[in-house]
Amino acid sequence: MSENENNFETLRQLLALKRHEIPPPGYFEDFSSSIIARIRAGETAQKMPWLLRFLQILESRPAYPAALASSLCVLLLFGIVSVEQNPEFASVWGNPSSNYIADLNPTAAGGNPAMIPMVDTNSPSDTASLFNTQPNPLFTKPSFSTGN
Amino acid sequence: MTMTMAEPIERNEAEVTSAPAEEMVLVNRARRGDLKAYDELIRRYQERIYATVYHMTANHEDANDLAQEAFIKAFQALKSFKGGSSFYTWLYRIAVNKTINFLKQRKNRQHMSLNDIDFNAEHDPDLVALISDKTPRREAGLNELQEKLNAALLKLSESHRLAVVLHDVQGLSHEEIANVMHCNIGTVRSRLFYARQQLQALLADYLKAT
Repeated sequence: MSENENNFETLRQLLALKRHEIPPPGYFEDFSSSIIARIRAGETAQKMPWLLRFLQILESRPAYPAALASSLCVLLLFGIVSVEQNPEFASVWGNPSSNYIADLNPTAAGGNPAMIPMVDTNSPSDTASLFNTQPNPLFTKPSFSTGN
Repeated sequence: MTMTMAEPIERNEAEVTSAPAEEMVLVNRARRGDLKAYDELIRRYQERIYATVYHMTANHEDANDLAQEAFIKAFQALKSFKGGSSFYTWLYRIAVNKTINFLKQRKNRQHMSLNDIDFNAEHDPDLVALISDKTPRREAGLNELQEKLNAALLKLSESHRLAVVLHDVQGLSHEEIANVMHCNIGTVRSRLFYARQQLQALLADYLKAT
């Protein structure tokens, strides 16, 4: 037991060495100010609008925007593949000979504007067909003749 | 600024306990968001909190991060501080819990980053007595002893290491340690005993008598 106690005493002496391990000079001079700065930064962050906080999170963790970009790419790729495989989509968006596209885009009609049906905007029936409404019976075409 | 961690803890304790009312005023002001008051509280305890975390981790960078986080967490949790124990004990508990959680997470990747030994070490009576003996530790320089001692401490379990650090290095009483570790005094004594035994076995070469 006494040997044990003697060893404990030697161990206690050796442990005294730990008390002499000190951080770099001046370390504690800035310690509290850096904690206060971090507390202030945290408080400011809480008062910030959610969008700015969200952007800050993205900035501090680059993995998040990378994941977001990758998922957008996957989504885009999936969209393209489904458009190509689905004939309904393809007839509207994928096939340039579609009438709908041709109606909107003269170049889609073989690049010949003459092939596109012209609409006479002065004719009530044509205007009606353009806006998909019935011709107004009260509407009369104005005449600019002098009556001679 | 010359600063040493060898400052007797008892003296600091006396300073702290002599003005508990003043400390409570600071705590109440900090609770209302007064950062100047909290700055004063940080300055009072920064060295002891840092030292405890450092002796537990044997890594300056980790100790810096953990000590700062402990103070930030304490500020955020000030509203929950009821004053049942002293602010100092409560703060210590936060720092110790944070450190133990950290150590459990990095269990298999312990990396030492030791601080330098101050020049006062050569004049410390304990160390003078230790090194002047004709033993293997005489040949080993202080730096080698420091490395061996820290490596041995890291081999202890967190609770055993904490008991040794708080008692034999920081100079806390058994009762204070029991408050910090949330256990009874008997448990503290038994942990201290087994921790010392383990350290003796690990440092046998350096503890041999002449």
